[in-house]
Amino acid sequence: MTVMPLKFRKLPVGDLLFADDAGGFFQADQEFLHRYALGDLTDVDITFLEANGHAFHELGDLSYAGFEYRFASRLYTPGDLDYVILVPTLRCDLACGYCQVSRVNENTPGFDWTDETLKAVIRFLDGLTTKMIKVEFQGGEPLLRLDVLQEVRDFCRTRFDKCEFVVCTNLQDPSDDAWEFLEHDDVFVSTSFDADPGTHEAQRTITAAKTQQFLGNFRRALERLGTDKVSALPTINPHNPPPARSIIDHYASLNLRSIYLRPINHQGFARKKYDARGSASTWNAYYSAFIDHLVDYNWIAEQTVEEYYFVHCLRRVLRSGHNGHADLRNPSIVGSGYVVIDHDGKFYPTDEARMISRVGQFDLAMGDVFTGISRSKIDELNQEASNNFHPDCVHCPYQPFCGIDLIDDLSRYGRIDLPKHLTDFCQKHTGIFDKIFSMIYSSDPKVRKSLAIWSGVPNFDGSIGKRLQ
Amino acid sequence: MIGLRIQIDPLPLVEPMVVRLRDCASSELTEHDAILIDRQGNRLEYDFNGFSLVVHSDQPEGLDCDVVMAVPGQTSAHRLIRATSPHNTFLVTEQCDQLCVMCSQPPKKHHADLFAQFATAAILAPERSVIGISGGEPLLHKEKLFQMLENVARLRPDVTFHVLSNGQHFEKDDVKRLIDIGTDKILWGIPLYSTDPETHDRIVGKDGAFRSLERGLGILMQAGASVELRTVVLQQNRDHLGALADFVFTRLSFINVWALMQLERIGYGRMNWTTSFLDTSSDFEPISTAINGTVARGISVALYNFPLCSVPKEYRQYAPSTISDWKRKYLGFCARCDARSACGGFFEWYSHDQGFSGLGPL
Amino acid sequence: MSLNLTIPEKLQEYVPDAVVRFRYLNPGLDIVCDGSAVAMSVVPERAAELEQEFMFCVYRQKIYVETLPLRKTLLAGVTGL
Repeated sequence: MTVMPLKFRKLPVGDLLFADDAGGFFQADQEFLHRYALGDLTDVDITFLEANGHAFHELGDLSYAGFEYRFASRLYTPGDLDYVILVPTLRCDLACGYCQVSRVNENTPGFDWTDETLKAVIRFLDGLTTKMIKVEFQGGEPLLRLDVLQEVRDFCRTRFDKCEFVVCTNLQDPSDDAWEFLEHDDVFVSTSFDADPGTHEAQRTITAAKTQQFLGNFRRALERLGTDKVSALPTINPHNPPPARSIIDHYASLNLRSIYLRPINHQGFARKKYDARGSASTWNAYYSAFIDHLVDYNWIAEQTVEEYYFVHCLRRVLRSGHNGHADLRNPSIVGSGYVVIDHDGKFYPTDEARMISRVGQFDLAMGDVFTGISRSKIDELNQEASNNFHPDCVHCPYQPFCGIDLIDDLSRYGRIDLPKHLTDFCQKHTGIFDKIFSMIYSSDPKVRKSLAIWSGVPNFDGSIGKRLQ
Repeated sequence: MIGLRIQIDPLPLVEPMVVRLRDCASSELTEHDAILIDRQGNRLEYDFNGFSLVVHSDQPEGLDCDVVMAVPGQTSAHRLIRATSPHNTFLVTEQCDQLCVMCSQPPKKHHADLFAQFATAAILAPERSVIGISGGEPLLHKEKLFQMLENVARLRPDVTFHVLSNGQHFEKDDVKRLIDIGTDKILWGIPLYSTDPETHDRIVGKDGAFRSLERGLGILMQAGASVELRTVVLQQNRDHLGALADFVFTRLSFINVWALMQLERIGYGRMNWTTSFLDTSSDFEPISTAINGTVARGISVALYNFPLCSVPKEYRQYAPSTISDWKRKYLGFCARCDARSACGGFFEWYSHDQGFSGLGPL
Repeated sequence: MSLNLTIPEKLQEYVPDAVVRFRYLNPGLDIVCDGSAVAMSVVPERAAELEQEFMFCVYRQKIYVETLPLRKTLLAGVTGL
């Protein structure tokens, strides 16, 4: 009987959480740890480990193969390039304090795609092998270049079998033509709504008039386009966050039931204004309390609410193959499945990479639309982009559910080889997984109700959280 | 009940013959097509390559594009493919190496080899047909079966198969063949009743079955095969469903779906009804726990042959209509039920006085 | 105070690498080892915690080394490399 390598982490009360590389997990006491580490497992231990998928008799037997399958399914393999983020302009009609995009004022010339850039982008899209495409327009404020959006959209519709367009807009002042553009079936809107009108005004719109203008457009978007086509994200200052309940109530009142909390990211302009150090523990405390508020809310609400990223992490714990979120993958191969094209036609592997290049920290450009994609630098980075054998991650029970983000590390620390526990990425995700496991092992019916909703079942089966007695 | 055989005037045959019945001539006719030339009430006369083929049918849906097989000396032909039905199954053998406590098709010693005829019938089937392959144990004739599947996959890539098998006859060499046929061409319906080898073996009436099945499932996983794992819920395995859910998750995450099935009251199932039938309408908890644990961990679950009123409301989404049209019925109170069109009803041979206690119109 | 730990023979070969990791997880901690014994200067309030953390490091190193061939086999089976 061979036992797969087990990773362990201390729990608040003294027992430990164990997990293997395929993401199977259980709780046990310190005595078990001693027996396991010293090779003195009892028959009871072995029966348990066998049943819970951590052991096999013969290499290649069904237990081994089943483990291998679950392990393999947790590894991300990029497909065809089928998702492009286009930044046709850096100009914006707002000046949000935390903006990380290195925006310029609305009337500043020289920060838009030229006609040549647009033509080159279309040539690039024409050369893709995928049959389906997702195009996300960012900026600045992309609606300031509605002409570009229309031309790209029109081209894609003739070129690809299936298209999805996302416009990341501040909804501050869309023209009639812009509204017409947004109403098409294949167009989706992503906007910011920072918790409540007060916070939104303080962080974004500044004046009451502009806040009302935004709210009017926001409501109009929800009414005319529907909540299926409009998503809104709240950006939160971890050091001065709005009350959780305020966010939940405001979003729920607009029938927006999936809230994706975004802590202010220190990159770009945000770094100048907000202090990035020590943010993780502050954020984790707020985030954990937010989840508790959701659990209370969902206990009595007729229509329940989720925090998008928490649900994503929960599903990554419970099942293999949940690799849809670009920020949480292992290996985190960038520059393959999707690419960013900046206002000057340069390619970047991610939006963060574009921003840290812009502030002059590192140059992660991958060529440009005129001379073509060049992946050599990114390939070097991608070689380090897995957590399986990282000297810290290899020992961590959260490793199979977690990911790795070298660009985030580069942005914050200028290097990718810091001990993981010192990185914001690790601290943030450790907090999230600690919370998830405390919920999985909770017998509180309120917790179980939210877990059921978030894991997509009528009731949450508590026996998923196994304990070796 | 829907007729699976059809009366014909006897033909001078030396071997079984497959014929596709057509109401009228068309440009895609083959040597196997018979064209309707005369109809008098239930008597239909077809021209089959210059010969007369007379069929007597009272089937209201008509026979156009049906594929039938006439057997020497018999006055009824088998309706192998009913063109208007999604439920067509080829019984490829009545031999079996197990003796399941709920068997609906008790095994026979004799085997009639009709693989060539079945291959022809599949090639004549309507576009995108899903054809069931059943027995007995089809893999007792693995080579012939694979040849048939390979032939059809080549000539009719749109046709797919749903093969019911005990999964114990696969070898490592089969992996390549399965991949070459196409993993999306065959859905393997494989039963597993318990993680306790003794219990599983007892239910299927064969020592060593569980261990052989473990090997077979490993080979199917290697081949990337599409598998529908089937578990009939019985008194005998009621308390094993929790361990089975953990087994499915840890060893069998590759399956397409785990089907929890209600017992069919025919064959051995009828004989052993009172000691086997689990009244899930009053005892659903083992099922709901299995569903909750499995779906949360990313594996699809389905409830087969559960009438909707026997299932708690929040679990009805897992119960599609699964009973084949030819063996399905509804009960008196179903006429008043709002869910009748979504519900799969009952088996033709369901007996309500020995059945579910908690039923009624929704 | 000086926290002195005697390492059971079964675990001794894993101590040097465990110490390396323990040191980067706890920078500034004074720690010396010589095969069967490990000594570190700690504040009394943290003695129990650091002893446990250190032993965890040794266990982790042992588990890592002993299961590395299995991990490589697993990865080879999955990636073909």
